[in-house]
Amino acid sequence: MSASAAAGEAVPVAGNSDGRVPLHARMDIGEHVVALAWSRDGGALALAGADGGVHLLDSAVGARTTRVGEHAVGALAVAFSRDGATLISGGQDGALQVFARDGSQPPRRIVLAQAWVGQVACSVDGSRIAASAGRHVSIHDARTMDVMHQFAPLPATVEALAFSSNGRQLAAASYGGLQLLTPFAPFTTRKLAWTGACISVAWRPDASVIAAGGQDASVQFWRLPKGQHAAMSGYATKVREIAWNASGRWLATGGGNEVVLWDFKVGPEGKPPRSLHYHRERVVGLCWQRKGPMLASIARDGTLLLWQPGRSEVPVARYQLASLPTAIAWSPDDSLLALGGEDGTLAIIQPQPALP
Amino acid sequence: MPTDTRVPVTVLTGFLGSGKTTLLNRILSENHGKRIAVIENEFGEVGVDHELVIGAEEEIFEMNNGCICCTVRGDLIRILGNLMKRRERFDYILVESTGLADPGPVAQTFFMDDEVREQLRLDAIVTLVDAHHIEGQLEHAMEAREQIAFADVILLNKTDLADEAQLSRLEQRLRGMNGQARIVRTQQAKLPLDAVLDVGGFDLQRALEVDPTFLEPEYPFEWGGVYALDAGDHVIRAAAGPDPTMKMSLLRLDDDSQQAFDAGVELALRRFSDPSPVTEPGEAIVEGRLHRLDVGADAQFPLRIERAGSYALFCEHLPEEFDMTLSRDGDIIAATSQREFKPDHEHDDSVTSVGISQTGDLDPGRVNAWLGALLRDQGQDLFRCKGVLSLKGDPRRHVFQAVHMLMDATSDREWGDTPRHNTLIFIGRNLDRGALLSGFEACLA
Repeated sequence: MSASAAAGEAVPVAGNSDGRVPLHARMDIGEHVVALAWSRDGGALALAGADGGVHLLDSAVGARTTRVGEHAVGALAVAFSRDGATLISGGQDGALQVFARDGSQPPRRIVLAQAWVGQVACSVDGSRIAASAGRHVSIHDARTMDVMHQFAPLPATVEALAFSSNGRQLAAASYGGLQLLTPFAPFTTRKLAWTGACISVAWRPDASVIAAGGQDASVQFWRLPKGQHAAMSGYATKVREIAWNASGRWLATGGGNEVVLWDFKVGPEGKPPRSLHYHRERVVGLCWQRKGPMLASIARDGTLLLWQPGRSEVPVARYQLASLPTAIAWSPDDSLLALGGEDGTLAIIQPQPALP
Repeated sequence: MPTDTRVPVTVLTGFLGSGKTTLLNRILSENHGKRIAVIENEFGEVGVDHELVIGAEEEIFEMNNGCICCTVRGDLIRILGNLMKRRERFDYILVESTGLADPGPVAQTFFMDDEVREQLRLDAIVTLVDAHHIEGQLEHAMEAREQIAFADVILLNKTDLADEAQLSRLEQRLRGMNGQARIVRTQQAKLPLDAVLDVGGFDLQRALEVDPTFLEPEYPFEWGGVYALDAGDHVIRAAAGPDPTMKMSLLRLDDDSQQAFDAGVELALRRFSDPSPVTEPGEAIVEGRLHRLDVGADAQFPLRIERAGSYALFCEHLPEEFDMTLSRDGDIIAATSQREFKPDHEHDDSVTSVGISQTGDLDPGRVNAWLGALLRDQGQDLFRCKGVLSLKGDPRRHVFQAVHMLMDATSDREWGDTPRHNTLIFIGRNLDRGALLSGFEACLA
């Protein structure tokens, strides 16, 4: 274990006419940030790096990141256990790695398959960890990490994995559609077929709708439990960015330079979506506050915008970031935004929206 | 022109045993000053600084855009996307595809996937062939034919195992299938690296550096002769031969020059794709029309020449096979010059190239509509197309290239002092040369 990154200092980054980026902390993990995740208590952040590093920032330790582990060639996914005590990562070495946040246990490495471990997720009740390795999805006991079940392989590599908020279902996206997996005995599977490749997935908070972004520049959704399917097309690019707001009214999607909002209160079937224009290049990340009304979007032009759909059609804050953002997540209390960068930057900012 | 800062990618294809591994090892060990990331076989292994990644399977994604030929490689998107997160480590990517892979989805991934297209530029498809075994592979495997068809560079490897006659025959055959690829002979895959890297095969600015006029098309006729004929009644006789009928067409030439004969050949190519009702003995031959002569003992076909001058007679088979003669008042008239043509389907290669090289300005609307319809209707069978066009009223060269249905086109530099000229090449399966030519000509302004 080594602390490779410099201590985080609160230095301002390039600002713009809206003022400086209200930086809370800035660190450098030294490699492209592939993924990041907050612990539920908000006290820690985990990052996956493109060169293979797994990094931990724990406020109990100080404002610095520690490289806690390594996946040969590349790390792909990170998640905390429900209680925040354990960090789990997946990578191109076909393995899961498990770290105790306080360092009380030696790290463990669990080899899953001769395939990339691209997705890791923790169930809402904290009892299970789900992971995907290539076409395979496995369910692990969150305490022991023992494999409880391995589902029959999907038609193609799993591109996204998400637990429903009630914890009763796990959705896996791949070419050929979605599979709804029951993460406990009898571990049933249900197929929601689509002829294209689903590359992202998001549950409506009440689990009444599951939506997926497509490689073919479309968004698919299914109303549950019946499974009525609808498709939304006309995007400029494939849709990897897809997120529901806390109330379940808005489904925000990327797939181009605009943020496209589908209103599930009055549709969206047969209704045009709202388009939020401002980014000059392709949107690469979207994140809603967990309870609050704000949506954050990042794009390849290096801009971070905050929106408050329903109250304002224009951004309530705009920041020009110093590096190309690659990952974004609100802290659990909705006060901070963690942003990973292409150049290895981790910026934690405290947004100051100009409320309309 | 803004500089393209995207990372170039060469895709290396070729059958098992063609020498891909030898070539890769040579490229990786040679001191060429380039940092090359190699994605090996099935895209399962990546070599960056000698690191390896495991386990990816070929995943072909069909796209829901109503086009069955629009497919991409999901595994390639994933692996290239991850590789680009470490782009400071290399400045070139070499993708080795398996011997059985269809190059279509691999190539289309670079045009269809947004993230890949933003960061990477497909430089060229290089196909390595074993000079000793390729002929057998071409007979038996569609994959081998497609790999030839898609290539920007064909490396004819293991030339030490074949003699010169074999090699030139082979080159001619490969050229017939793919008229735009550069063919390079090698042994143990030894070759200058610039034959493989920075080829610019998909670069519109470098479109058609190979001039397809040298392309020897496959002709639907085996023989053509030039005759100096006076006005008056003539007779064509054709006895029984290997087939019960023989197609022929008599065309008037501007004069007796080579140029006029070449124009006649082009015209005959179009005539020979016309419908050809049978012409019974005794029925007249009409200049400018395609006839299918019902040949047999003493079969005679009258021919009336209205104007004295040069005429060319094109026959499906060699005249001696049918004892064909052209006579007037019982005197046989000999051709002043004649030429034999490479017959169609010498190898039965369903993959061929059609080159068009013609002067004249094109109507922009018509040529757009023609190419659009062509790619839409025949995109599945068209592997690669390229062209430099002279559009009416536009001082600039217009260039395009396409992979299946995906076309990329732009206005290029001005013609300046260079003579304006249209050059197009189509590489595909079951191409109809005559239809392509008439389609093109209908676009002339």
